[in-house]
Amino acid sequence: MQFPSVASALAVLLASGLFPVSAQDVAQPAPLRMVEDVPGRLRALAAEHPGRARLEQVGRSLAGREILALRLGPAEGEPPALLVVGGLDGRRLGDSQALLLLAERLLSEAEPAAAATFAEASLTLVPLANPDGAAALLGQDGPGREQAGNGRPEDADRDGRVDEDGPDDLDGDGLITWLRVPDPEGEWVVDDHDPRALRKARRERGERGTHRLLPEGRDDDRDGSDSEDGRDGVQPDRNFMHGWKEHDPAGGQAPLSEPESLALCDFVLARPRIFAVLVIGAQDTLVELPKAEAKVPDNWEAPLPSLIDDDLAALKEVQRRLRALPGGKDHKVKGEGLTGGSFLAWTYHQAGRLPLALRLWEPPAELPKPEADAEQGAPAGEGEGAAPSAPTAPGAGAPAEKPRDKGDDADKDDEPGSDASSPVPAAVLAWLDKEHPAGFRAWTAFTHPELGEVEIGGLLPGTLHVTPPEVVAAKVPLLSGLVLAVLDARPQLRFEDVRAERGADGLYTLQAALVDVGALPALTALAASAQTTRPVVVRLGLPEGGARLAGPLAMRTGRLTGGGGRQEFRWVVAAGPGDVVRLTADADALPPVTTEVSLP
Amino acid sequence: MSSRARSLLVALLLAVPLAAPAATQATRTPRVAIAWDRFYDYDGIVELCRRLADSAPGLCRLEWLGESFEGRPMPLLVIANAATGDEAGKSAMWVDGNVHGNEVQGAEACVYLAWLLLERHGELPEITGLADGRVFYICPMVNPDGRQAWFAEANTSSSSRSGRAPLDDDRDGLFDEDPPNDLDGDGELLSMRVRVPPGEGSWRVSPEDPRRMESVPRDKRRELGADLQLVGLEGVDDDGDGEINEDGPGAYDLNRNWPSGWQPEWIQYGAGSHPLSHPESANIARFLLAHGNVAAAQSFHNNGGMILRGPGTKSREDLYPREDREAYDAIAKEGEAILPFYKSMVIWKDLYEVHGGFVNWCAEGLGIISFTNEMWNGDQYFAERGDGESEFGEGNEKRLLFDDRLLFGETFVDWHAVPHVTYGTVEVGGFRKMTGRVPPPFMIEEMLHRNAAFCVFHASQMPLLRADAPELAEAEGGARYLTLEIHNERWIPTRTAVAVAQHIGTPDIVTLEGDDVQVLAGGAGADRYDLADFEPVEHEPARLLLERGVPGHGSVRLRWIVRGSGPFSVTLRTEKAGSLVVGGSL
Repeated sequence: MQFPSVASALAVLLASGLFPVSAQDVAQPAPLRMVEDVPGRLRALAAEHPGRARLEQVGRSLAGREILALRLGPAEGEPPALLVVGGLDGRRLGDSQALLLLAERLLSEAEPAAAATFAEASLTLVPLANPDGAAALLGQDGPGREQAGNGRPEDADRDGRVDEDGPDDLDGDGLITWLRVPDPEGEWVVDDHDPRALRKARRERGERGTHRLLPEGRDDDRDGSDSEDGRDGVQPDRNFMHGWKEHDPAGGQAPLSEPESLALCDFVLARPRIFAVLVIGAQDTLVELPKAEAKVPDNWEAPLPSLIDDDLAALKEVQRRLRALPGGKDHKVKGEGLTGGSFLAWTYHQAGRLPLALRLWEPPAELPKPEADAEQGAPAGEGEGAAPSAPTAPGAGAPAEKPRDKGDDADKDDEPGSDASSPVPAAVLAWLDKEHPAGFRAWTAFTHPELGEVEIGGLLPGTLHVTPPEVVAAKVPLLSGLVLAVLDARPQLRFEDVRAERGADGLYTLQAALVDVGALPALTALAASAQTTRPVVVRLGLPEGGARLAGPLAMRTGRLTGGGGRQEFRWVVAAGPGDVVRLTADADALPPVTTEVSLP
Repeated sequence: MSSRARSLLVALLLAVPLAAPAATQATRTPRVAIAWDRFYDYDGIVELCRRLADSAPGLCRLEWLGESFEGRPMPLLVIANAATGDEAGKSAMWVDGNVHGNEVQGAEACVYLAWLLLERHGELPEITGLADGRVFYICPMVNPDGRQAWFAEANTSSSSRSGRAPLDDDRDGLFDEDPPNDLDGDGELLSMRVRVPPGEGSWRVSPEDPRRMESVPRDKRRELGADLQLVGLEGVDDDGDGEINEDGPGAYDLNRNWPSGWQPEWIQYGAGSHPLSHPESANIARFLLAHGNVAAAQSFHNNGGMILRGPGTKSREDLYPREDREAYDAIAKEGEAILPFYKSMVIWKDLYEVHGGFVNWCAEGLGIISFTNEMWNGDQYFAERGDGESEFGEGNEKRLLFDDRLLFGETFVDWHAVPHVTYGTVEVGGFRKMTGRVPPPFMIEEMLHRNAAFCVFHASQMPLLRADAPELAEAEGGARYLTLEIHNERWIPTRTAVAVAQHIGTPDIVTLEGDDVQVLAGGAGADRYDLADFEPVEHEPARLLLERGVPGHGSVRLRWIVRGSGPFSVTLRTEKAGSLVVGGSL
């Protein structure tokens, strides 16, 4: 068994272009340099494209890092807007990278249609909503490690000490990986498909575990548990009100207790013209439509468990437009739906906006076909690091004292596939071998101060969460097409069929219809029913000396559905021929529209 | 001195501190004289707080929790005797009032409690013990803006409940543009009625008393000549939209803005855009989250005579486990005796459903034993008990009798005609704001004292820890068993059952230390007789974690196996009951 030198490990990592490293003295590949300073990148884009892109402040993270938005669209006014958010989960750096590339693409010549769209609608991008979590993965805050939350100090093991036993970079490579500990009480066994991978022991069949898997670290507080009180903190994307889990440490002490989520909530509430929100993360509402069973409640007594079915039509329309895009039909990555406590769930259920979510990638869960797989165990790129785990010697990488319990041959009839619950699944290793051999750090013997002979290795931090750069590159055009398609489907109000008829005695009957000529509704069914948003109010403006004889001065509309949903209005007014009557429809969610009619 | 004389002297000395207050209770001159037969506006309450804090340096101080929406500082009286120990190391009680701007007497109840504790400190042993051994955080005005507006402007007994951040109640894009209006400028906000042709109204003037109105059933209207329509509170259509008084100041509920069980506006009226979205609630939450020693909470409201506890909805019953309910019941039962006319009730079951209420957050989110008192009950007008028919009539009949005989007509404004822009002429009249939900002046002090006495009892039930002397016994191989029993002599546990179940706060921690003491094993759940029968922990036996704390009127027995010699000390550290140190020697 050999230790790879730190330098050679770094070189391999850098060559992959995928994973963060903490060494500051080595130039990093372009994709990662991009997400290392998202605010800087956004500033640069705004500076390069004055008049087309501008910065907006969202807020600051718990550690004080800036959260910025970049807004594309007309320099003046408040047109209908789509908000796109990424990086709510600190581990999902690839999504942040995708949103930066999306901004670049939309500001470049690559999307000729964008100029027309952005003359009348705007797109607001928040590429990195949880910068503290990202900083942890980027190694800007100690050894590179996965941190879904914002790192708020917590007493995770409830022993009266805060964050006293986080992971430790035992091998000094600047990364927190995994400890593979031989232990018959462990729940893991070496995967038959790949000796580097582990799967859960099938205890229901009498199979005993052979290993424990622990985050790289030691028992800093000598309480018998390793790395059980680190700094994950509160997850901003579990800190929103709808479906918030009280008393769940990841959800925070109160909804919006975290600066990241509060800032995002305030940002949305202050911008009623955001008609839809698109989250790029682990959620999806476009490949697999969310459940939409609820009817518009007669009486709101409890939060809804699903979307109101009337709102599904709007999601279907966006799905249709997505599938019409090049590559749209082939995008089949499903994800979580409107997870409780998430920004997206709040966006729909409490802010009344259309909840869009697209997941760009998921780690492979299926093993490749056997023939493709044959003898590919230790690919070249992995170097010497892989040597200890020869495919034909299960468990040999470990100085295992106990022989692995192989079970009997009957098991072969229904052999388990790759175990998606594993931190080191066989299917992911097979994929890494082909695409990113440096993503796996070979199990390497280590004498642990408390645990004795163990191995350090496994997937590098972020591997299961960071959308790989080649996928990002491939998906940005689809994303770009999607946001333009959504903006082009935006709700748009028009007055139609405006008529004034002269009756007896100088009285006029005035009629008009207010129509949503956009494909998407002016308000979601939820927003209209729950009254999250002020409805469109149609007001009558009379000429001087004119009088209103019938019909209200101001009238609140019902919900206007997209694709021509309309409501008609009628007044009787007294005025003179040639006088001009003005009708205005104003709303918080949409720009006001006005029409004038000259009396015959 | 003969032994008889000596014992007499001892008896006299012992008797002095007890006898003194008895001799002075009704004749003593207060150190801080405050009129308790009246209510005070915002400035008046702040002034009382200043006087109390100035009167008792070292025992009471005035802090500010932050500012209200309109920028009024929110006073907090802190009663903590610096000479008797560190504030964070004592159990604390949170007391507030007036979260609803119109429910004014809560503020006076808060100030009265502070006054009682300071005024009788050094005179009455129970009060002295509480003020020295416990901490009180007293916030008289959770909603200073609503209070100030209620006093300064024309209001009813029920208006100005909200804070004053403008809201677009009628969703027309304009904010607070159509409030009620004091049509005749008399400083009162009263009911408004119009005369209609006989038979077309739904009310008529009572033949017995022209001040009263009678509702007339539809089939009797023509026969009885019903000629009145009630058209709401005094007001006009300020914004010309055809509706009157449909968008007044604010219109939200600061007591629906708390994290536990919060639901949005369309499920819970007044909720706000998110929990703690208002400065007033955020200020208080920040304080409570930073003061984990708060073990009891009381919030004063009006009215109805209730001692309320959560949950606010049926679905949250599981957050009130049996052990907590025992503490609630024990305190509330005593409360029913202290507060005649008040009933112990559960909010969702006996009143109505509330999402996101303050005491619900205290109880369910922070693990604090918490009550809301709805102060003042209409039965108190004629000191009636029971649910039977009143001999003084019902509703307004009884109130008018009280107004006539005891208040000499002060609280009712006779109906009088006033011009109105929409109706031509209206009649305006009814009860003034300072009646109905608040007692008349001569009954205010009793209300304040009884409610303060309930707080005193509640505070006295915060955990009080006592340890027996540690016991040593020989174990095999020259080691020794060290056993320590710790008792809680009050109803409230060091960790409420909801805190245990939901992992709120930090477990109690017991450490055993000594320079020459080796701790070989340790654990809780020790049997009194079988020394080997306890639950040794796997790690850190010298630092035991007690997730369940010390139960109310209960105890924990801890045991260690130790070696060594010389002095040792055992320290129990709790969030809500301070620390307890017990020494001994091996």
